[in-house]
Amino acid sequence: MSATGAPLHDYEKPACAWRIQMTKTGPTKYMSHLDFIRTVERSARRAKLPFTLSAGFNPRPRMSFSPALPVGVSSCSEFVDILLKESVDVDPASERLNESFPDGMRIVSSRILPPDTPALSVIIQVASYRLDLHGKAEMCKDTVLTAVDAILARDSIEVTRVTPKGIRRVDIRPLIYEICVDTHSSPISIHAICASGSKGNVRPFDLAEVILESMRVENDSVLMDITREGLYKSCCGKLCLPW
Amino acid sequence: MEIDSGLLERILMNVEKPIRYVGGEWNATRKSHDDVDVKVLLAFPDTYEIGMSHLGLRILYHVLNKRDDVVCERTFMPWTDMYDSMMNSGIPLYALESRHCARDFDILGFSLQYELSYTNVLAMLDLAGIPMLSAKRGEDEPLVIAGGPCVYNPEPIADFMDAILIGEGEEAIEEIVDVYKDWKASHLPRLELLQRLACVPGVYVPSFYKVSYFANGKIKEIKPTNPAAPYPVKKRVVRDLNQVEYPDKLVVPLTEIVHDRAVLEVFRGCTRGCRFCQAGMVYRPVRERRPDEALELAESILKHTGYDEISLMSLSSADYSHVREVAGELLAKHNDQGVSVSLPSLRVDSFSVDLAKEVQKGRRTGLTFAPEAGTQRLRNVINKGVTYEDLIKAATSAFSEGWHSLKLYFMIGLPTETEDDLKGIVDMAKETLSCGRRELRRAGIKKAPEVTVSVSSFVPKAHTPFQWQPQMPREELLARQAYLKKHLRGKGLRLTWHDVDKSFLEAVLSRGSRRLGQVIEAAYRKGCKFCAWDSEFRFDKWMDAFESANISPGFYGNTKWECSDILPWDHISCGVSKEFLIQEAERALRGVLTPDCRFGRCSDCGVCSDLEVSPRVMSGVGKETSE
Ligand code: SF4
Repeated sequence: MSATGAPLHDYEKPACAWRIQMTKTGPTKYMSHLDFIRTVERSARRAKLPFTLSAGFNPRPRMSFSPALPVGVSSCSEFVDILLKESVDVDPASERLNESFPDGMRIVSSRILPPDTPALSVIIQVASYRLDLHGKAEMCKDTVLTAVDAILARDSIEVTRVTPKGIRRVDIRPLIYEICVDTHSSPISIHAICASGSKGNVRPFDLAEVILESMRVENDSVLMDITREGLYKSCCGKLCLPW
Repeated sequence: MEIDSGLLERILMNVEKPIRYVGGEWNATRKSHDDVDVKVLLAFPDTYEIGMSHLGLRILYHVLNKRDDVVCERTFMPWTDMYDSMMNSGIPLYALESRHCARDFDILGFSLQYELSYTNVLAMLDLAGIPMLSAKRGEDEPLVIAGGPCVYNPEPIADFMDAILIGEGEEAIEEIVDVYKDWKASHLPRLELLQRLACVPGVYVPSFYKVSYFANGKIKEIKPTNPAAPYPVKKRVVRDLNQVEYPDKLVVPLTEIVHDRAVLEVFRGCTRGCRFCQAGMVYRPVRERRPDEALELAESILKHTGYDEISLMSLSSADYSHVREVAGELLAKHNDQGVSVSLPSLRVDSFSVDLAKEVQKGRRTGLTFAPEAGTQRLRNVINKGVTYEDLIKAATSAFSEGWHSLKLYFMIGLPTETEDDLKGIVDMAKETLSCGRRELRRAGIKKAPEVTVSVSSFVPKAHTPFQWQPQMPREELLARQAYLKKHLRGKGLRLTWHDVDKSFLEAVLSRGSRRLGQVIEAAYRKGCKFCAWDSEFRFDKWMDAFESANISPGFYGNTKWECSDILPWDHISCGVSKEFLIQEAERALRGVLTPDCRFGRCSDCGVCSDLEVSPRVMSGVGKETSE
């Protein structure tokens, strides 16, 4: 599959894929995935990047994105592939694109890859999240530690998924690989590593709900700021950035 | 004071589409409030997605922020979930850019686009903690002003506004700001500010006019009570579109809005003279943008926004003298980057279909025609210069060019309408459909044609030849809708219609006097908000509000008024003379057409002599004819 999974008969042949790791924070964390796509497209136009266009009556810049981030979750590691007509110098191109991004979106790192690089949606399998606890939860580190231990001790954790086909129960326990608590930070933050992608997916709000439930606090007495800190592919059992 | 951002973040997690409430858009202007003399907050009384689609707001934002001594920010009506959360958690209405409370601003300017948004204006003032009634506002409160098409009858909203700008805003807003700045430095009382504002051409200060009534509700007299108050207040009009600011750094929202594309206004005004149409009267005369100027602006807009679509906007795009040239050149330059051009509001003719074909480049998105009435007789009454043949020709060429679905706009309840006219609508729709079958078959296209008929109900509007006409009673409109529902059935035909209760309320507010202020306030207190939205509209509460104020809505909605009556908006002038409107009303009944003055012959509507303007139609590149 090509980097966009796009049809074979495009009229513009890409010379390379520019893979960007970028942030989505501040106001842009409230953008839906579709909003995000549109905004990256418009930024690419403002930056005058030599993107290739899709075929059809409504040609659009050919891009592909890492798995959708829920509305309200920040990220310091989203990935975007932009298929380019010609290769670019990464530094000036990044500068131009950064200048064209709205506040909250910023390139962290980027590389030029061959145009037939496997798609992000295929290779990304793991995500790490940071959940910052504001509000009453700050009062007691022990509550948080005990709650997390209790979660890890469970054999199964069922969450509900509402899909177009109906309501499903999913066991996410096997998909949670690690949870740890940083008691030195203020506010207290919880770090979690879990499955993310087509082969199994833990949603950040699932995590939040499970943690709150385990802490036995009311949903609205605690505010959780959630940040996606990393997206990884697994190579030989190790977590690597999807370069 | 800035609002509590932590608290805001918390409530944002529990509302629909939080992106509406956070700002941060590309090209949004950030300025420190400490570095400016005047702080203006533009307030749009509907959702972010609708407000941001509105060109007037974008023009004023640009004009004001160009000045170093002014900061201009935006705020929109929060959707009901957000409104409730803000009320409950004590977050007042705030500006998207700086998150300063609305109360911190010097001037709060409302954009009034449709009458059913009036309760939202009150909701926003209430949420801002600003007294709703102008008379109750203290010396330190922001100056609350309004503008937009609704203010051609400003009376229903008059009690809530300190001042109202009648007409086009891009020049007047700067004068208003200048007056404000001088006054602020003078430390004189608020009354002095209002008096100085009343001297700015186009500004109406409602509290400087006293309205008295006869026992039957009709108006006895409208009298200025302050020497500074002009009578009538004449609308502001821009003489030459090429000489005023137009925004090229349009704010690009982070989420999809209703008109999510770049817009370039190619001309203002329309003099086709449809007798029901307020825009066709109040925006006179026609003023076109020079094609070279249009192209230059379009380039700059595309460059600064990154939009992939640009709309060449006006009240009737195919009427722009250089539409072909401008659209063609834009496409030639940008089509290979996937940029498209769109032309809203096309006429019913094959020229328009050809244009649509050229700009759509193989795409066949919807095509809409507006014959407005079903028979030639009634089309002559309303001065819609479209014939049955025009429609069939336009439809034929559309279907043969590959469109398979057309939309037709009609209005029901027009003055003098009979069953014949309704039958005419049915016939036109059916004929269009069979024309579609024929043409698609001939072109070898397998798809079945579709015709959507959209009917709205006639609403009498101020400053039109039909301003004296009643709206038909509710039962009558319902019966007419039922007739169409019964006869416009079958494969390929679709009918959409407007809620008659909403149209009725629109008619009442459109022709309302100052007395309706208390009704609007009562309706808001009963919980009416977002009345233009079907899901939120509560007719019963509005009727309660009328009853509690002891005012009969039928007097404003369903009564025929006499030409000799003093109308609630008689002190407001859009330049079109009452004599012309009376003459047009008579010609309507006789079915006599009045030609478009854009093509040469002046029909003496009064605008040009009264406001010292003239139509500006461009006859060649860089040249123009004006009389
Ligand atoms: S005064 Fe004459 S030229 Fe001017 S807008 Fe009216 S009809 Fe047209």
